Amino acid sequence: MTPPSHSRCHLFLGAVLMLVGGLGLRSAPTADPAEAARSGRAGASPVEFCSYDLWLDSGSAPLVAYQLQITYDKGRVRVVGLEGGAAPVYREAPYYDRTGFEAGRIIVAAFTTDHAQAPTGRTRVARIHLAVPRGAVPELGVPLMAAARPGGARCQAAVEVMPTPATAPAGVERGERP
Amino acid sequence: MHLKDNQPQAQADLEVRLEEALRGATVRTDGDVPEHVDKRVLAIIDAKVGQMSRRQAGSPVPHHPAWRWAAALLVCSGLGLVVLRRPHAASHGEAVVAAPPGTRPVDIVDAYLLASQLQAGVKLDSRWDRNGDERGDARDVEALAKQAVALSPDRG
Repeated sequence: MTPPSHSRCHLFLGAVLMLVGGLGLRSAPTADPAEAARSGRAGASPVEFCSYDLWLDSGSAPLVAYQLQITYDKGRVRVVGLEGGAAPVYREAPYYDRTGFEAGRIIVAAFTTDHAQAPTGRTRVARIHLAVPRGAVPELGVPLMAAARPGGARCQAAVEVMPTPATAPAGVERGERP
Repeated sequence: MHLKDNQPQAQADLEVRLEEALRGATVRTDGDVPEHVDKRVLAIIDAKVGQMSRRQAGSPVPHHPAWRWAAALLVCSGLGLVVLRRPHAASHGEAVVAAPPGTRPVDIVDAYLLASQLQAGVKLDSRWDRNGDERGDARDVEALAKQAVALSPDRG
């Protein structure tokens, strides 16, 4: 039994609308960098990855322990990884809590009992990898929570955050602080 | 002493002679001290006063009790400053037998201290225990470090 002509027209229109709607959903850009990262879509990705180096300057005192808190806008930025620094004693990834990847703040820390190898002066202690909206410059806060010299005496250390030269976001010139 | 009239003359003579002898033996003082005695006493006084003067001259601070208390306080303060300003063993790179964090928030320095003490062979008690085995060891170092970076409210 064939349907009436107006029913065929309605079916046709419905199919067209479904097709157009599906195409629209496929092409809509995703504002969530996490979703874009998970979808793994190539091409015009709205998200880009960058990394920032964490530097500490303890002066003449060997740095045997450090603890930093990194704050970021969790609505725009997502932490995707952490790795160690340049000094041999800090080459391994620091301690961190994975819940800080999307919480808006994360604490990173490391220590060494090898006092002879503990670095002095300005040292890159860690590197943090971020996913940010394309063209955006993440604003990072990095207050020092703790630092110590051999023996456990607490000391001060100057903190610097510098974009890793090879992965600087498009909106950041090399060497420019976020 | 007076003899009665009927006593023998010898006794009367004896009485007279006794009186004369006593009169000669006693020193009469008319209120003036003999000069040689004066000189001797004054010499003794000078000697004693000289000693007292030398004693007082050799003491620059008056012997008032308040000064003694002040001096004692000054000495104690100086000793206290010396003790407090003594270079901490940590500055010489020695391992410090530190106390566990207790109730304050844990940070990475606590993990470092525990690791340092273990490396130095210090025997640690259960106060450093973080994993329930009632002793401080390498696993507690790991637990302390993770606790230091945890974002949960019970970091401490």
